[in-house]
Amino acid sequence: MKAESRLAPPATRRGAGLRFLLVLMAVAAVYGASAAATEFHPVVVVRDADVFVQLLGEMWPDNRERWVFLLTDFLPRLKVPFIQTLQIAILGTLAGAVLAVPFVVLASNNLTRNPVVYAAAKALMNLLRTVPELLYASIFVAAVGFGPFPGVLALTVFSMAIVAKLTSESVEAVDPGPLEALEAAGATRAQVIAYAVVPQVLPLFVSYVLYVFEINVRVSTVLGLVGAGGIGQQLQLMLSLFQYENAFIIILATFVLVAAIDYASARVRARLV
Amino acid sequence: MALLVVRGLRVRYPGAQEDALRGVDLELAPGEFVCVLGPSGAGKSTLIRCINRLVEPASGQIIWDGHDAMRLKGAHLLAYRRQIGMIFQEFHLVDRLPVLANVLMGRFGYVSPWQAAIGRYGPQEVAWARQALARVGLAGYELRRARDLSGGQRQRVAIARALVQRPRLMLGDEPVSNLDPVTARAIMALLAEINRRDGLTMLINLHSVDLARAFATRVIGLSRGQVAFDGPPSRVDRSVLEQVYGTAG
Repeated sequence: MKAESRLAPPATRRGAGLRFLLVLMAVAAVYGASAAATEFHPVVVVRDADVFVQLLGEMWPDNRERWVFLLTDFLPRLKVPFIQTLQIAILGTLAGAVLAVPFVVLASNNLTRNPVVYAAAKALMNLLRTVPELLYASIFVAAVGFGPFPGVLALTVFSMAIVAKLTSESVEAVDPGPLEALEAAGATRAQVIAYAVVPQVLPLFVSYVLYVFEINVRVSTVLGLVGAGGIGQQLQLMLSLFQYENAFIIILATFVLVAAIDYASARVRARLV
Repeated sequence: MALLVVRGLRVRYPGAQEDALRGVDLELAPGEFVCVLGPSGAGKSTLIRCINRLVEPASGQIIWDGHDAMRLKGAHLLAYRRQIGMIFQEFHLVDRLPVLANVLMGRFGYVSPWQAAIGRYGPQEVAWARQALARVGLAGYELRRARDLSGGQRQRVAIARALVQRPRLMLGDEPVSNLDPVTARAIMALLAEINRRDGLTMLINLHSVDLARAFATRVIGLSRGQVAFDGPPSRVDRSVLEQVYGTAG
């Protein structure tokens, strides 16, 4: 008996199969409860597949003339809203990046020694980051009205929080050696930050700003859905007018734009870091 | 008159059970080359960081050139620190920047903050930086990035950075522990040459007893936060090492 138990697998291993089964059942139960509450039935997806296929059919322009019209007449008219979308993303990203700088200093424990200020700055950045961009956009639409202005505000707040959080984490990870060396040489605090911290963090900061710009381009295409300007407003309009072919062209163009910017930005970021 | 007098220096780090320094007394005369020996944790790094006030002592006195250096604050503290050069085990250069930019950082204690912020140094400043680089044997390396240099070359850049401060005392925190034995000896020889020619006082922490014997004019042995030996290198024998390190080194 004793010899046998010594050969048996350790207790943690023995219970693993049963535990896996219990976790699986728990996940299934949560899924079932959520589906029941939201009246979501996977069966419906299969049963009503023809409705989706029909919608896709309505979106797909079915003859040559329609394609020519959509690409030569409708698409050029999207230029202004698309440019507005990019402008919203650019303004939001740049303003957010600039506003992030003081928070980077306050939310880095090697630059801000006061624990209360540090904790407050870090908590504020985390709090701002938990709110989704579209929620900011709806709040600002309610506050200042429809149009691109609330969109820019929403992206500014969101970008500031992300850039400040990521950059302050990089600042906390810099090599402390040069900071100590400059301090020992009688440098002021501003000199230490400018010469020992900034050179180490600048490439990362630029990379984070580009990363946030990628996110902002994607978000700015849907800001219009809550009335915050850009191409999303056109998409919303076409869907509400049942102009599915036009909506399809907007989605297609959005996809191309976002993919192109993602690709270009990722290339630049790869060279930076 | 002594350049530096340290009396009854005590340091306790936050959360530590014991004092890192337990009443250290020390006097440095101008032109001395002092090496500090002692096992890891004996308080060598703490001692030299107290001298330029990177670490705040709990109690004790630091008298620099006849003046109390413990009360200095703000601009006065910065003006005090710029008179003391410091070199480190890991060199502590800004690796991404060129050698010349790193050396010019030694002038930060002298230029106004806005001058440094826009990278404006006077021609005199740049000339001094070039001279310092030539002095450490790195003429022609001005525009190389610090990270592209070897360990020995980087320590030479760090020495040049300290020299442009026009210091009256050079502190070294194990400046050769990261270098191979041949390079370590060359760096120590460079420090000894600067000490002889410029009369620059040296206070250098070392791991190597042999290097201390070869270059120091005076050796201080630290053991558990206290001075266990203070005398000429010729008196550093087996019994002294046992006293400092606990066992024969």
